[in-house]
Amino acid sequence: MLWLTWRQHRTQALATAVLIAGVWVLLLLDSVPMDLIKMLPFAPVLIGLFWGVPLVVKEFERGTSQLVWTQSVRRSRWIVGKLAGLGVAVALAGLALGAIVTGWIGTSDTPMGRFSGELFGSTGVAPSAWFLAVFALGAAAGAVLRRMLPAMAVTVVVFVALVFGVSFSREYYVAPVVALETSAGIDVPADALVGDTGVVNAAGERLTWHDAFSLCADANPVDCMADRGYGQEFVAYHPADRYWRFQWTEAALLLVFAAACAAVTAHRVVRRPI
Amino acid sequence: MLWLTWRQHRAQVLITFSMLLALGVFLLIHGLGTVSAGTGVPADRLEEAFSHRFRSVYFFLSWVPIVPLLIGVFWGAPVLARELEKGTHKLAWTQSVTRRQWLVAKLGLLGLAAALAGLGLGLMISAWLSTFDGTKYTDKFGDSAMFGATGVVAGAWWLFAFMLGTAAGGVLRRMLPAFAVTIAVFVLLMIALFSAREDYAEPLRKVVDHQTLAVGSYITGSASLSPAGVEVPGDAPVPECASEGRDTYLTCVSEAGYESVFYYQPADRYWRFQWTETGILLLATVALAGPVVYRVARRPI
Repeated sequence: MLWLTWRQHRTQALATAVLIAGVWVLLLLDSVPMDLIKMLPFAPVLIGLFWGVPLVVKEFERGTSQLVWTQSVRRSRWIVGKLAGLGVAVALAGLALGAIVTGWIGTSDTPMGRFSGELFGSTGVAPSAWFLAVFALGAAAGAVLRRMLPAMAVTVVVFVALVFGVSFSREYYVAPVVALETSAGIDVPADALVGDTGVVNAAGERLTWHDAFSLCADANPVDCMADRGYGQEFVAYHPADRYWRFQWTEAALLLVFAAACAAVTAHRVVRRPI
Repeated sequence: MLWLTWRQHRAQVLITFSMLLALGVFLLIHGLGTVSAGTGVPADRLEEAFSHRFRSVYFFLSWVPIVPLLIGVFWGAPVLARELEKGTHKLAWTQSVTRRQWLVAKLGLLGLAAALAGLGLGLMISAWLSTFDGTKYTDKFGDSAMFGATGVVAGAWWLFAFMLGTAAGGVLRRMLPAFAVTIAVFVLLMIALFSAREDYAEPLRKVVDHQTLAVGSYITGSASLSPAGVEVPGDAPVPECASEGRDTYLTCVSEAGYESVFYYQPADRYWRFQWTETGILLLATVALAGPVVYRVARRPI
């Protein structure tokens, strides 16, 4: 199985290695335009399209599933071998990307830290979990839909929804620390992940700017909220030492998603008539 | 051929147009909401009042320039790669319809649909941006994402992506490699054009005492002008104040008599820049059509 997996997927493996090496060189040269950095959270979709979807679909579309699933290696072993072998490769690729981006942040003068919304998902162990999640998603879409283009379309749509969903919910993994406005301004430590901002009243009730804007649509929100008793501003943030806790939370969420997708894939492969 | 093209590509076309329709309805409702939220608000308060409305949608719309990539992958690449991979080109190209007619119909109809879809999306986004009139949010020139998502450039990007996918499929003859090459070339070209855009014309220079320029102009560089007439690039500290801290730096600069210089493209160059980029993209599209025509009409089947 190991040999078969390598033989069938070596192109993807080499292309991915070259791509990650390319990112590394570009970052070392420190010549990456901001537009490219901004796209990093969407890079894992390539793993889903080129590793995940073809895994089962290629066999179905070419009819080779009839050959490969009637060998001495049982279907259950075939799919477990494929998912495990490729999963390990994908996870290692993610770890490499995470290490490269983390290393780049340490040496460059970029204003974005590893705990910023833009880069959090591309540093540490998060890329590894993202790669695994989208790989399993692509495989499941392929196993269910059995055709390349629809499976790819579904992978892209679900992945984009997942990226936006996770990046919006990230700040709620644990309750944030709340910094209140004082005469010296609001003291938010450097490298913190900033979440909600808003106003607070004397009783300590908080209202985000989002709610404040909808309450006083036409008026200046600062004056309008002060009239309602919300005279003090606040910033909710997560201090920099929560970085690893957040990394593991995000990784765990994505791994649960990946496991569910892998289970769907295995079920479809093992149960469906050939 | 009209029927065949529709029949083979209707899934992509229907999905794309229904997504555009859904986005259009959303932008229409949101835009009408913006107009009603803005009525009665004094002009100098508009920006504050619209800030949240704008940002929450802009966050998603700033990704629109990457959408043509999906057209390249899902519309363009399968046109030739799917036929060649499955061997159905042998059937399709040996009918009473000549190969040339087959190609002209496929490229013409699908290319036209892709370009129209891109133009339509651009119009919808322009209309949505215009509901923020009177604030800095209407800017679709200095904002690189909105420049690429509006005007004629939007249609040109969609058409180019379609032809890129088709050419990759025709040359590589297989779907997966064609997808990979389409994505790689598109991303590289997008980065190249995004950074080349400010050089489409020589920028104008303006010395200002306050950091204000007309809304809608595209700032390409800045500098500090010393009283002696020496320009210090905007990203380097002024020599007299190099040792100042972050808090006192700006006051030091103005006390030393420095003025700000901006290099910018004025707002009325928007359409000139739009047509320049459209021209570049159409040239690339025509260049890509070469290998496609050769592959389909010239080479033995």
